[in-house]
Amino acid sequence: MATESSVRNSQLWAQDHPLPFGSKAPAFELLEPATGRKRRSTDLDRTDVLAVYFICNHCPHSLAWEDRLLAIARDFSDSVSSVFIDPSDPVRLLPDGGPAFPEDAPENVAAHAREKHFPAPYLVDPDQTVADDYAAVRTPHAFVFTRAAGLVYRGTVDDNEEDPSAVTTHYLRDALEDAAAGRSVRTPETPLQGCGIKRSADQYPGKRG
Amino acid sequence: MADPVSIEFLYEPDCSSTEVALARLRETCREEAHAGGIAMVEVTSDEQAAALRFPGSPTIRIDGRDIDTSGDGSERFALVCRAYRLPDGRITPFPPKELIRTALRDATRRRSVSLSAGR
Repeated sequence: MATESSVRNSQLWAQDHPLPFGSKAPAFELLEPATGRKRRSTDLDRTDVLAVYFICNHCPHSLAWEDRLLAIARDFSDSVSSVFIDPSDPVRLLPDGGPAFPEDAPENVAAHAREKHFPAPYLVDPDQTVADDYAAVRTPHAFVFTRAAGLVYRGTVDDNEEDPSAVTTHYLRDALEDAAAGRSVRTPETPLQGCGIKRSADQYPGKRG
Repeated sequence: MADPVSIEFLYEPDCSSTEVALARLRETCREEAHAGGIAMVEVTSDEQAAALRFPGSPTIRIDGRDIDTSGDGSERFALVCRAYRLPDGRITPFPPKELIRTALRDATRRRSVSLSAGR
């Protein structure tokens, strides 16, 4: 009998099967609501370093870190190709028939990308197929790849989501600097703080056993 | 003397706001000399969220009242992390300490007024 965590398209599966270090970036083709175009990962990967960020519009953790993530994507735009992916299911319904995540409807993702001047494509993954391929667990969840070494970083942004001025360790910036310089990433994995990525197939995604 | 106010902490286990928010609540309770405990309420389904009118994790209710009365006008009750606002307008997943403190003091004051009126 399959256990809950052995089922793909489950948040617990993703937690229990992190993408191994050294893996190549899983390929994807996803809609960019701001342009109405499908974007392929192979077309976005124009530098030696690729950063894939799972974020969303409804999660306060993601929103608290968002300006910093956008600044990082801008600051590293010469050496790092960045892409943002919203893995929320915009048609997930609540018991009253209303949408669970109206903020993540494609038109709202497009509006958000325009309003915040996203420096890189903001794509949608409404059935979490790509989130599963990356074993993304929370928003935000950052993945950094290099052509030479594959996955070199997975984790969070920094060590203080509420107060940017109180950050003492810039995990993601450090990882990108190391990756862009061809060095080993000093801290390859950091603990996640964020909203669980609800899989469409999960009824009670937060409940274990 | 009035009974201590009742405090409920409603949370979704999958939202990682719980630890910081609960620590903040406990610290504020200590500072305000709150003598009662904190009732923990785990919310694990959208159905339960609807039944409890749970707008997101964490939600703190003192004597049945939500500590954040600002609201965003939405009536969504779901398994989501809840957004709060810092005094400068930035979004945070954690209830600000001053919000907790103000709600705690207001509830204590209401209890005192109610006790006086009943004498």
